[in-house]
Amino acid sequence: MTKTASILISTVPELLSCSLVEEYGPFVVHSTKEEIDKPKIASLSLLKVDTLDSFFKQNNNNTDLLDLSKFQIPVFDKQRLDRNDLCFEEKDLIETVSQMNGLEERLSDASLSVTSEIDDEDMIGLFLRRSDAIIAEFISAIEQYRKKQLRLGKKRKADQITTVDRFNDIESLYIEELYRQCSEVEELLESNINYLGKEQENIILSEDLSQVTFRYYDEQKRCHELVGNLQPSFPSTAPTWLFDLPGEFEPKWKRLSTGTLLSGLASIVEEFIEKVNSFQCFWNELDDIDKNVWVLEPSNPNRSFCERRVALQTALSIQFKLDPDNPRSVPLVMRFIGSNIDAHDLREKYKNYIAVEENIPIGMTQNFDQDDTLDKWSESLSFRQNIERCFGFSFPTQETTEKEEFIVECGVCYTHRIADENGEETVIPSIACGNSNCGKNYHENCLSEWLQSLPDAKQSFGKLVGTCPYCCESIAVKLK
Amino acid sequence: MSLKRINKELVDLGKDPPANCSAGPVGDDMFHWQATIMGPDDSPYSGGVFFLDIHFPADYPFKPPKVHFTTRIYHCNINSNGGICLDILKDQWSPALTISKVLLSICSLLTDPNPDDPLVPDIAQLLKTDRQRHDSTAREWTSKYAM
Repeated sequence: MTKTASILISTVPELLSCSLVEEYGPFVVHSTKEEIDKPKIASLSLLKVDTLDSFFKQNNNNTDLLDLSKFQIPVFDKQRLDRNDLCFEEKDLIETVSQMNGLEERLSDASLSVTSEIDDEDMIGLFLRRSDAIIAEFISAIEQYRKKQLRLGKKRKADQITTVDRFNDIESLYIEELYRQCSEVEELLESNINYLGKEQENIILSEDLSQVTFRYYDEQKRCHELVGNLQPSFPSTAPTWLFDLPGEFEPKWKRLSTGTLLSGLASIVEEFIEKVNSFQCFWNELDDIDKNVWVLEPSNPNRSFCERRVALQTALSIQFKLDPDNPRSVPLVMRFIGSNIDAHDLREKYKNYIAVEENIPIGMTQNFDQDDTLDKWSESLSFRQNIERCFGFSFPTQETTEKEEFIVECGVCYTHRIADENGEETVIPSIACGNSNCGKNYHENCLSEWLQSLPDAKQSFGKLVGTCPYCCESIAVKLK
Repeated sequence: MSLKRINKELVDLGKDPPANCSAGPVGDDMFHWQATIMGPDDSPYSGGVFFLDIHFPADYPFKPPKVHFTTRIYHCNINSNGGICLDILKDQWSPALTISKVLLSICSLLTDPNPDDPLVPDIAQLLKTDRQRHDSTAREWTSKYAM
């Protein structure tokens, strides 16, 4: 695509005769894209023309504006145009349009900001976005009006239909393009009913139509959000998606060369819901942990976090990572944080618990005591149950223990939480002195900074080895 | 981080004050403190109140605080500028130490001077050769400067 030109309001003939538009527009926004990844808005003009015809006459010599040959144009569909013929009484249209919230104001606002700041590319971008949103709103109002008319069974006057004949191909293609935006948004609003039941506020459209948020409540009433940022060129370009899921989710915005959309917003919502449902077991596991176990880190986990660090005893904790696809299997990562002596026992227990049974010849199985196989990781149990069975004690919970027991201070900075790279206080001590008589805890950064200042600290295998500031036993920290 | 730790030390000092010592910030600057040490009873400094000035470095607790006497004292490990010769304020510093522990160490230095590593050799010499005369001078200085 080397050139794009968008003629906004002027492409909707009905609006040309609308007094509202006569006052402010029609807007003619023209931009060229010299390279696909280096879009440069060459010119932007706001013209006041009486009719679409006179606009095209006026600009006949301006090849930039009218040479649309390289514009990726959807195949002209006569039938569709017929279907979408836009003929209404001007009075009714203005009525419909004036019902739209603050539209008049916004239109004049958008045109003012462009005329005053025409050189500023940001402003142009802003204007394009805003006017696109306004257009979409117009179109959907027209569409709704049209539907209403159809429902009412009003007969159209033959002479009104003839206005359609005036359009040349280019015009109808634009109408086509604008219609797609409109119908996409409509489809989405309808999907609210189709997919999400009667709950309110499941689909939220931002006022300028630049963002759409889907909310989905899963079977455990957990709320999941999918946020789509709609580009001004939507639906030609895919929206950018924001979501909070532990696994990959790449909604595909499929288009055929003819411009037909294979999967729209509604199907992406469907895809999202399917994805959310596939993680139910994973979130159930984590909710069980968050509710019943003393979670040290992270303090406010997102739905996409697979890791937790939980307290076992004073100055002893485990950090683990669950597999979102197989939440009940042996955790992907299991770390013991605490002094060696305390952690050693549990680490051994855990190792035996998760050890895979050797392949036993068929005849030998009977020699094995059943109790032996009982003490193995079982996917029929939750993570919490597995770990409690493995260690032989229950996790301390927030109810059964004093907070102070697990709020361990770092031996260097004397605080529990310190700021992470984003400035949020989430980092808690993660290194403990191996000397069980000392067992002091340190933040990785604090200890590392101290050891680096020691003249006799040594580096080996990516670790910095020095002495514990309290007991002078050897202690190591990963080199940054 | 330094500020947090200094604040924490101040709170801890309030909760569990060390014997014969007190310390706290001078004005609003948390990095500048003043401390007092009461002369220990079993020393020639008994009855005196000694003032010290404490400056925390910006990279505290990775670097030791700078501590010196503002009250003159006759002591072989403390010079006329108030400088203190104490290993934990120099190469033996560790983040495990606190101002409270430093002040207690200074207290015990008053009770037990270390003439083998002196800052003022004359006083150390006298302490080794004539303890009585040393102690009476120390008492004299104490009543002159610290009472």
